Amino acid sequence: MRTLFTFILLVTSVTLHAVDEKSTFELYDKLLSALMPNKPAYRLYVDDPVYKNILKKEEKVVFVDRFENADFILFTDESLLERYREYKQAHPEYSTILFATRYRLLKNCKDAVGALYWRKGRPQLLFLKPRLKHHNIVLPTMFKKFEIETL
Amino acid sequence: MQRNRLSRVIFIIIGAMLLFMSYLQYAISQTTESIKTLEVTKAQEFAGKIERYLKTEIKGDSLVAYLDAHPEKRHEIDKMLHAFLTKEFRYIFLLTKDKEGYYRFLLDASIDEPVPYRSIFFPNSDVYDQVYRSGIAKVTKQKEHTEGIWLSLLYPIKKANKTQMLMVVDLSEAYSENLNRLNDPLIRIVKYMQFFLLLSILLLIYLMYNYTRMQKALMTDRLTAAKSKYFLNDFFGKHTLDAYNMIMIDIDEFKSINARFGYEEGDRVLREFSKTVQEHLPNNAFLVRNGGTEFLVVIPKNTVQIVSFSQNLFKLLKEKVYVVENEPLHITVSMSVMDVPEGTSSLQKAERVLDARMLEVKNLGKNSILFVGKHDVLNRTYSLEQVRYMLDAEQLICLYQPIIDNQTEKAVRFEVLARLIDKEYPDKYVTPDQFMDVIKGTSQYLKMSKLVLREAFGTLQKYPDIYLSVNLDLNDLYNTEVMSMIMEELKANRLMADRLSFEILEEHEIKDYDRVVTIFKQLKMYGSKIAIDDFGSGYANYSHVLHLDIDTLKVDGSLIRELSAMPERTEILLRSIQTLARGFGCEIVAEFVSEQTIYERVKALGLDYSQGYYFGKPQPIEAYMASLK
Repeated sequence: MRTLFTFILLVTSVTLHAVDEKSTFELYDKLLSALMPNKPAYRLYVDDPVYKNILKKEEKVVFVDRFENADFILFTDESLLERYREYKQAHPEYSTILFATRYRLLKNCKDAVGALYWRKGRPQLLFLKPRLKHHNIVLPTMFKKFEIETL
Repeated sequence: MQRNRLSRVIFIIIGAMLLFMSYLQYAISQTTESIKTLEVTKAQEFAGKIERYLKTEIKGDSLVAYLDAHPEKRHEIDKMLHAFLTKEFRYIFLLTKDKEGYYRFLLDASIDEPVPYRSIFFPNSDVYDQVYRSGIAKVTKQKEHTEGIWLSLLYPIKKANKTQMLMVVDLSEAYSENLNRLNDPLIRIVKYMQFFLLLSILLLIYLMYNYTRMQKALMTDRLTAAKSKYFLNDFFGKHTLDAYNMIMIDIDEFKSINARFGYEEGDRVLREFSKTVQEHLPNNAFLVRNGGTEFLVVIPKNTVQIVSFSQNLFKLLKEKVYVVENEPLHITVSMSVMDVPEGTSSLQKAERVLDARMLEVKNLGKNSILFVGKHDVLNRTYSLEQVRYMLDAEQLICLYQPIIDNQTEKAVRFEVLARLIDKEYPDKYVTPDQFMDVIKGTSQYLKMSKLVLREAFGTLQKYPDIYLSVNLDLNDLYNTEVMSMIMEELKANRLMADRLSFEILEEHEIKDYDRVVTIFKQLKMYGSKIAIDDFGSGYANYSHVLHLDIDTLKVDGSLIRELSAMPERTEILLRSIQTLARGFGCEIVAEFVSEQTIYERVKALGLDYSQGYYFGKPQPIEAYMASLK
């Protein structure tokens, strides 16, 4: 577990420029299968070209360009969050898995289940238990350590 | 032997190089480590200062509660902490543990990118918990891929005997790189050295591999699959020669086979011959191809009886039928066989003896076998070079044989007999008949005579009551250099010269007695005596007595020996010599008195002195002096 955690910390970066692409890909591969088990394909809404580039290597990933078609939205900046909010306001019943690449985004978005971000030179991975529960997501044991109740 | 030594040396060099490489690596890591220690100490001092400041600024027993309650104070402290951020310290922040055990940010020196108060922090190491629990500061090295951090000092801040906060001081990676840059030239040199050491090691391994491969090829004769000469030399570098017996085999008239059937068929016969011999050899024996059609069989002693084995082998090789171009072909061999004597250590010498025997076989018409006796190996003559080597190393010893007064039966004089010492056979002295012929007329003779004279005078000095005689060849006395040397020695020891006799040996007819008279006068100048050696044989005859001033006649041993076989006739001859000696005032010494009956006849004849094994064999003077006491 500790090895995996170390591995995650080592390969993850918010800005990604300091991150090994291969490791980031592996991490997100694990994350996606943990958050969406048994899904034949992951329909992802990502508008950051860097992340798109990395995640396109995952065979099960299908990029979508509309929120309603997405199983998973990766927030990488405020503008995307803003667009999401607008969409959510228009479609209150809409629900999908949201994940942030910054702490601030996680804090500002009540629907995000977790985040993978950089703090004091160290990668940080965390999940919010109530939000996971809302989506009926049960994380594998290896991620349990990063589940917290509140921010 | 040489190969093993070389391998060992190469392995030692490689080992030393590897050790040196490791040492260089260690030295570099030590330097880096000391830089690290220095920086950590500095960080601890900073942390200590911050701790003192915090404790002054924050009131009450619970630091965390105070900070929770005073956001403006937090801001103030953050600002102050910011002052501590230098190029060395990238991040300084303080954490606390919440009720659930999660770390939460309290204070942060990074004003530019402030972390929300009490936001969560997942440390990437168990050390955080260890420090929190133990209250003892620790340093952790950051894992790969963390951003810009070299080391983290985890410093507990305790109050009321409890760790309340954990200060994290991150040492900047950029600063560490700066420090390392100071070390860079040295590190670069070390890396280059390591690189070249590694190259050298690889080169050495490559050379050794090639050398070993080449040696393997050199060990076996490619045509016959017998061992090579190289193998033989190498083998006897590791094994003692006298633990083996040797047989030299040469195929007779092999040229005719080559001429008749061609070289290809000749080679085939050689291969078959080699195979036949090898199949017949006992365990641990081997066949060496000396070159051409000459082979050497080396057999460990005690595996077979060498004589019968070699005879069987000879018979086998003689009866063996080769089929060449559908024709039966018989070949014959010449063999010389040596039961190598104990103490033999020179392969070259042993081969020389086998060669000499082989030559005898060839001269006798080939197709035969001859055996080498121990005598052939040990009683050989020495070359001038070998004698020169022994004399240069002063491997010369003088032995003494007593000359007995027949009346008193006491030793009145000792004959000094020179022997050389061959280091290969230190137990057996090299006698003059084994080397004298080759050194006569050379500077080595002069050298040897000088050594003998010095030894004789040394003995005379040591034992003031004894008389000695030394041998000289008259022919050599014609040599002015030899004469000058003798005269110099006599002059230098003139007080003892009257206790010294020169036994002159004459192998040629003396044509110029005047010259010899002069030589004798010179020798007698300081009181030395002259004796004619082997009188009664060869040219040592009556004319000497007539022309020369002689003190003693030493009757030739061959005449004395005849006293046993033909006593009456020999006695007549000896009486005539005695009459002659008396007439000229000479004393007579009978040589080769080897048994009592001879001595009794000598004594009965009234000869003055006796010398021979009956009274004592040549021995170091100390042996006689001890018995005289």
